[in-house]
Amino acid sequence: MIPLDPLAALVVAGGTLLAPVAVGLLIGVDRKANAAVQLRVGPPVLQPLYDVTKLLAKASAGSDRVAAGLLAAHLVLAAGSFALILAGGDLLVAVLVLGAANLSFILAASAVESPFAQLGAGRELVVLVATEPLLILVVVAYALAAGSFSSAAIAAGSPYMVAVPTLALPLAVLLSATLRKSPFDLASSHHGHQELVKGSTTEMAGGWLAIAELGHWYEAAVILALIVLAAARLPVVAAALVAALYAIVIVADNTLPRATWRAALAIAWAVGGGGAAIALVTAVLASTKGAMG
Amino acid sequence: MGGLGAILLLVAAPPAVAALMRLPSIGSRRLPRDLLACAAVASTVIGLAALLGGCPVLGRAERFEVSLGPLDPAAAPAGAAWSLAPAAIALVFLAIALRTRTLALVGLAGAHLFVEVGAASAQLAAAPEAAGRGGLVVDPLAATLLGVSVLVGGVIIVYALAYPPVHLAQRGIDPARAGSSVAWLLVFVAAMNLLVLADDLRLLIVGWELTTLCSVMLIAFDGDAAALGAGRRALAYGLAGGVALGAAEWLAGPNARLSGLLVDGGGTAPVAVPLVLGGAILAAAMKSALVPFQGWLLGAMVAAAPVSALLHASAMVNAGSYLLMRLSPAIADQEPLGPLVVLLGAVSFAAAALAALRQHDLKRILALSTVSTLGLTTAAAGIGSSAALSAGLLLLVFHAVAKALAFLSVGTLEQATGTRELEDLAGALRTAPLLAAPLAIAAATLALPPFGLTVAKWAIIEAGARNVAFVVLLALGGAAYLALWTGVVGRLLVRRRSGSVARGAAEPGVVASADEASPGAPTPGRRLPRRQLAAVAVLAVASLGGLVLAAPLAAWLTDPAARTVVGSGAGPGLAAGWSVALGTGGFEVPLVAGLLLAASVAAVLAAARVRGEAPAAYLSGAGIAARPGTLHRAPGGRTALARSGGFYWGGGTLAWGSDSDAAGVPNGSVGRPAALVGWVLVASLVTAAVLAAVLLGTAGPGAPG
Repeated sequence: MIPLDPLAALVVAGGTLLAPVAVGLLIGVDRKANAAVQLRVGPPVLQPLYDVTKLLAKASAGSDRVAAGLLAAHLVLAAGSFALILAGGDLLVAVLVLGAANLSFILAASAVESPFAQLGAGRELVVLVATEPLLILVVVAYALAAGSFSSAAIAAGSPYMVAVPTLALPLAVLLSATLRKSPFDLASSHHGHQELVKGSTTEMAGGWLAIAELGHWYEAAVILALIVLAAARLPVVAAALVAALYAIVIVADNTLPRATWRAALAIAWAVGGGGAAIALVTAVLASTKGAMG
Repeated sequence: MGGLGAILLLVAAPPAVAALMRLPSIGSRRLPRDLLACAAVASTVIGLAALLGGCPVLGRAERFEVSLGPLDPAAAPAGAAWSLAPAAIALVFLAIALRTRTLALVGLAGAHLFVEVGAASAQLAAAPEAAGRGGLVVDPLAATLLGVSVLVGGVIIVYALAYPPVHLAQRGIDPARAGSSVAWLLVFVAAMNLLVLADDLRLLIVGWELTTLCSVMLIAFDGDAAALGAGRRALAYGLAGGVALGAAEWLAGPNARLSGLLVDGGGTAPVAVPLVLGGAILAAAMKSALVPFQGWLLGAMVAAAPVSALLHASAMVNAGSYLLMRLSPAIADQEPLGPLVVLLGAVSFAAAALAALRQHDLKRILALSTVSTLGLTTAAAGIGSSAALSAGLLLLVFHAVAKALAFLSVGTLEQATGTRELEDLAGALRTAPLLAAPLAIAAATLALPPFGLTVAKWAIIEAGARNVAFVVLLALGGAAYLALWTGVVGRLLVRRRSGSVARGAAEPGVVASADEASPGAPTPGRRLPRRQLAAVAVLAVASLGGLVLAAPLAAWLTDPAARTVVGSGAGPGLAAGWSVALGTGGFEVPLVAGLLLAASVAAVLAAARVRGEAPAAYLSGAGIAARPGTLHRAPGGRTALARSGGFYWGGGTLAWGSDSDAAGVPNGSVGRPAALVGWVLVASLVTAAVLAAVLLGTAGPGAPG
């Protein structure tokens, strides 16, 4: 159940408001790291935050009314999903709300008949089919290990990385997909150098693009929170875990080409799903043994 | 306990009215026909209210036996008649099969007749049961199903009153037959009412076979080649299910009751109990069109929209789920059967949802999503814990309302535009919002939290979390289900360039193109009957009510129903105030509903800030949309089916994300070998998960902890 005392509510509200700043900073560091890998100087760490504030300040050119509304809904739902986790609510509910946020964004992308936006929206659906099962499997694996679906109880029962180490695989796939990095950047790449690869965001501009970006940052915050839950009681380990998975994702981004939709599904389900299924079996075995002993 | 009058209103009044409608002087005239049908619907609603007044089961886990008086199977002459009735219906099926001149069907009908005659002779040879026990039972489970059948079925029939004439006219069929189709719908609802109230197996089988008969007659109603083919197929599946259920009755022995089967096999030999249950499971799988028996339901899409709605939402397919829920404790007790039913349901859920992604005919999409949802209710019945059963029933109720709304709105769209191809209806939410919005509402209630369906799915996942194969299949199916409705609404929502070919298709009352027009098609500007719109509006409001109704419905209907079926010892129910809770987590329905409302308000406010005309879509100077026909159209303005727009698995040249995509830009590619290796891994993974589940013996009930 969700705590309702004012202090906790304040912490949840504050955390939810600050989450995009943290994700923005993380992406800034990510760009620096990527630049270092590619022997470039790279943009300042604060660049993603500059970009979003600049976009927000822009006088918005005409935009599609429905798409704009759906983008706002996407932001609210993604933030709500993150707040649910922060408040100690049911993790599976948070994932379902995140699914609703994804749905809003995909609808916003498909609202305008630009071939690029339509292409992006179609591919967003593929990424949704590829990643949504992993989210559910990760949550169920946590719940089996902790004996509860509530994120507060899961955090209290951590660390799990020793008990269910293969959970790192689906988490890495989820992180790569939510940051729109290769090989899961088929719908909309974080590299903006081709018009095609901006896919789903092609028709979004100005403030509306900033809102779309903030919504994505909240989605990333949810995935990062899932990673942190693996070792929530040991902040240093949790930070190391985030860094390690981020490093894997950066290496994959720099070495793997963009996947076709079939390959994206196959990789996500085989690598991520495989890791999650092994984790699930391990967790069931462990809890059965625990119940016997 | 009395209630005979209520039962007669529920079960006997609709067929009586239907018989009157078959009279040419009434059936061919609209006013008396409509008045009679409305009276029949009203009688079932009054019957439901009277029954619930006499047997107060709402919110209480109580069970009332109701006798049919002199007509009860326990009474000697009536008992003989009820025993012989299935055999008589089997004779009707044989006659139909002979008319089709299909050898396989005749064989099946012969086998069916043999089984029913065998069961009847066993019943007649045995001593009649001691009088005093009623053949019907009213408990929360029966009341829930009855409510769905009467209320949702009633709305569908009111809609149907205005629908058939147009449907018939579009297909060049004599409008005088309209009365006959409504009459079959009425008999259908009555048969369903009998089925869910029956405790005596003879009554159950009469209801069961009558629903099969009505569905076959309604599916084949149009009489063209497609309808007759679909009718034959439905008959084949119905007969096969009938053989399984008849054999189960024969094995169960004379005077068998559903409640008896649950206690100790009800006097049935212990060896025969798994076979009886197996027969019931097989029959239920056929009735509910679970994978791999989904063929008849997909074929049934040739029928008119109200028929599809009745098959999918309020009757027919629910009968299978109902039987499995009723027998759930017995099934869960028989070791191989419980996990098997869970797996059957989970496979249906995932396979049908994934298959639906490649469809572009709206009714087929809806049909596959029905199969998918029924798979989940079946799995819930297989898990057998109180919470899972309650969640399964909750899913069934919310699905009935949402699916009825979806079918009726597709029917309205089809009447207004002459098409139900998703690609032809692209942009309908922009050009014909009133017609397309109900479908979008149905999609939202099917896919979004905290509408009842999602809450029920959540509860089923948490209740079955320890079964690894089940969870993996549910996760896959759940993702596909979400993607499916996102894709459908995404196509309806697209803002099309003015002047594109499909513009006409999406406007109410305008026929899409010349080749789709047929004799009697609606003329431009034709208004839809008010009753149709009212029926759709009622269902839309009921669907939207699902935003907050999950917990109250669980408290009043599904928790008591689960308790009466499995007893109070099988774990806690779902309802906890306005939220839904399981031992290990909670779905804060008001909180999530508040979040969804906040998102909606934000959406409205954001949309209001956008002023003026939106710019034309960015086309990179390629001029793709300047051709007659956009990306989603083949040359010549014809709809390019699966290869056109949207996300379809079966795509080839133009499917989004194919190796060389629409704009001709090659993607970077990990390539086919990688995909192949991935799929092999996926297959081995699923196998391993199934094996693990079997080896660990974790397929039983129980939440983690």
